[in-house]
Amino acid sequence: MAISIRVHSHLKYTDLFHTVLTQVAKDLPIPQERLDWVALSLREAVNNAVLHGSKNDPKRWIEVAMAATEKALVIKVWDEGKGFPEDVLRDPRKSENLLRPNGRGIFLIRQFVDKLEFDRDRKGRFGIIMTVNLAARESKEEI
Amino acid sequence: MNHRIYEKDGISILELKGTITLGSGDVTLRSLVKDLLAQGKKHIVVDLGGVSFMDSTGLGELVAAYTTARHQQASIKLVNLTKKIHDLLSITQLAAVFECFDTMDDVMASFKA
Repeated sequence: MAISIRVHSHLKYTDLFHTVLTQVAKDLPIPQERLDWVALSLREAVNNAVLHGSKNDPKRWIEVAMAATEKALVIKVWDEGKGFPEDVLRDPRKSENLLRPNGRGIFLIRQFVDKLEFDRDRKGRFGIIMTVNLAARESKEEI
Repeated sequence: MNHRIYEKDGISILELKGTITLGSGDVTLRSLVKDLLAQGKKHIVVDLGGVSFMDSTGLGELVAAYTTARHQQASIKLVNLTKKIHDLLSITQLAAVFECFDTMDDVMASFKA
């Protein structure tokens, strides 16, 4: 199973991608509670692509690709931005960051997917790649 | 996000329903609390029992409401958290920031303690 959707960069499409994920997941062995966390991760990645990657410019494009095998669901969110160096992503749990109103999106993704990677493709696009294992999981998401 | 505001024993109750996510009324929570503070309200309870989904922007709105209230010597307490929202607060360690209560009776009693 694989699906890819490319749209102009706009926050109104976050709900669309959430709906698509819900449909895709109907054929996957993934419990509802876990799916909710994966959906949250997808929403954070799309919002990040629109706000930071595309600088909220609707003339730019974003693309979300979902591909599932028996072992894993892989979700890729591409934007036309410069990306961000991973080491500047602050830990929102640190006391100096705890009362900041933002800076929790990527952190949350890390909690709820099994693997988070950043990539740049041949077109120069920046990608957030999230892998969700579909086999029996360890207790990572069992918070 | 839908909301209802009412008073109970001098406490302002802000009852929220729906989703608190980016692009779905996320600005409202912060502005609602600012409006209450502007009216001189010092004790605010945010009832999250009807909130089905919250993202990092929603968490940010809660934090912004909390810091705004604190700067004005007001207090914000949370009640009726779903398991999901409780989990979100726990993993972001915001559970240590907010006073959270299981029931409305509990949170109301906390103001009298």
